[in-house]
Amino acid sequence: MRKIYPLLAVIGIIFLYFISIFSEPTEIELKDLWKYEGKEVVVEGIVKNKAGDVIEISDGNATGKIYCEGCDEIEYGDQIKARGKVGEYGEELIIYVEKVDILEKWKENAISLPYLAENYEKYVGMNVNVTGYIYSKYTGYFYLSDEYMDYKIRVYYNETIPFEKYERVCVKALFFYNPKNCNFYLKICQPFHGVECYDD
Amino acid sequence: MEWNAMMIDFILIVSFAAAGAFIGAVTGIIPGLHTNNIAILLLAILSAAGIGIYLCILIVAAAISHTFLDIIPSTFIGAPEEDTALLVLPAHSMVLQGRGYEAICISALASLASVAVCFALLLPFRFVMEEPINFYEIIEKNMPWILICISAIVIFTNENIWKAILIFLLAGIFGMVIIDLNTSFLIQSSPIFPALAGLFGAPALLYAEKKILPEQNLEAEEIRVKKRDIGGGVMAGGIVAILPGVSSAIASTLALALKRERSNEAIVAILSATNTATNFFVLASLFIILKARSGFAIVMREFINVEKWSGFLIPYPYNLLLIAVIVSSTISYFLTKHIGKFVAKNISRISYRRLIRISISIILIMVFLFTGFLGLLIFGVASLIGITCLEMKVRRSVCMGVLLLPLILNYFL
Repeated sequence: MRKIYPLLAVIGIIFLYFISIFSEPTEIELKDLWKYEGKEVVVEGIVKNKAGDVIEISDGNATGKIYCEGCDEIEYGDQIKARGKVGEYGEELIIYVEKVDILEKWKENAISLPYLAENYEKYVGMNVNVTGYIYSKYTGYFYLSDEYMDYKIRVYYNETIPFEKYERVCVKALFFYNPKNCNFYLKICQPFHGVECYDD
Repeated sequence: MEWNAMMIDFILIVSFAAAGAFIGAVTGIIPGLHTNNIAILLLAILSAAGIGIYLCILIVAAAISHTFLDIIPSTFIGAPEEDTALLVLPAHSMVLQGRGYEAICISALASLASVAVCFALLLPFRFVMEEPINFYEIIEKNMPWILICISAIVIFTNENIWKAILIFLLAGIFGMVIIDLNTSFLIQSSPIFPALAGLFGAPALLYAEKKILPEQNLEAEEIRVKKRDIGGGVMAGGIVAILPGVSSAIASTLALALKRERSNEAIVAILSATNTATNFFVLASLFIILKARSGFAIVMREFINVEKWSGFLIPYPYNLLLIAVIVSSTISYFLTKHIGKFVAKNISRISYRRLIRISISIILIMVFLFTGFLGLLIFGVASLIGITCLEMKVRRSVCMGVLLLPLILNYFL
């Protein structure tokens, strides 16, 4: 037997091993998850939902789930990049995460009220950091508006805010849609939510 | 009026099934091209067309037809796919004996017979896999042990066990290294194609002893296949089709591992029956356990609302898809024989040396088109392992370690 063949095969496997170390898995869109069952992939998306270790993310076209143990620092609205193997989780597919990076915390990404209004689909059910102006104040809620008063949104907050009308603020809250009266609203309901003075 | 509507519906079903059979014939003949690619293409182009059920009929017909026709490139040019990898050597050996057309006829008949057996076993399959027996859960829980048993049989049925273990580990480690590599080039594809083409295809061509290709015998009138070969293939296909991540190649290995007699004809019959049965039961699994075990089944789930088959009666639209299976397998049987005869008739006009060169060129072009330079590298390394296997006189099925070892480790790690 020519010993050169197994020797070359071993060298080839070692070479491919080094390629596999340095090559990143395929970065895929969430809608293509099913094509990669059993494979390692990279996905990117915004956190839409969290239930224990299962996190639902959306990339704008589709949603997908990732299984991430000990990912407590990830919050609704964070933009994350996850790498892991696609596998079954009950009846659906999930990515069992090996590595996850938070690309942008939802708090760091301040958006204006008009932007939120025009891109509402992207943010419904998520933490948002919205900049705007105090329009009016009531017990249990206040209204936030843009500088030209074209857009207005109700913000539910049980505490009294130390800001006056037309003061520019940042509101960190959950963004909801109420189908019963076809209204969007913001709700300050978590310890990390709140209203702060807008600081350029 | 209602009768007319039914007739139109029936004609549409048969037409889409026939179209699917021809599409499957094309994907079957072109090495490396899979029905899943066509299904994904249909999903991308026609998902909003509102003809979901007819597209599913087309996809099912193509998936069945593909398993009939993919014997042709495996036999004549030694270019295998996952389900025909183990078939290359016996089928190509028959070509070198002037019996290439006979191999094609055996394969076509075995596939057709396996469809008939699958239909006969469909109802028992439904009750065994789901309530009341729930055999699916038993298999799923014990799958790593089943895979270990298959590996043990594959290794220990060799004369020199140590050499077989060495090849199994070499192929297995190779499989673990390449399994997650991103090899998609012109179309989305996996590294499995160049790996299997290298492990099974290239060595079969390079080590073929004869230098002259004999005239192929085109009179294959008395073709027969053994019932137990078909039964074994169907059983293996049925077990493997329901499990996640376990491909038809494992079904082939399982079917072959349990077979004592190793004549070329028997191997061709068993593996052809296994391949067709695997796709048949992948479709059945979609409706019985609501799990999509192949790309084509996943695409179908996007097109139609899949409802669980819980009683005796076959639910809609599964009944229509079974009609597509019948139409497609009948057309595919004749297509396989017809195309196989055409190829067999013309192939002996080419000198064998030239045929080898053409075959290897086709494999290399396909590997490059689907998987790029990385695919060529994988093909090269896989060929070296395949040649080492032949040089050590170890059975080729041992090279299935490329899929078995990563799969086993995936369960334990």
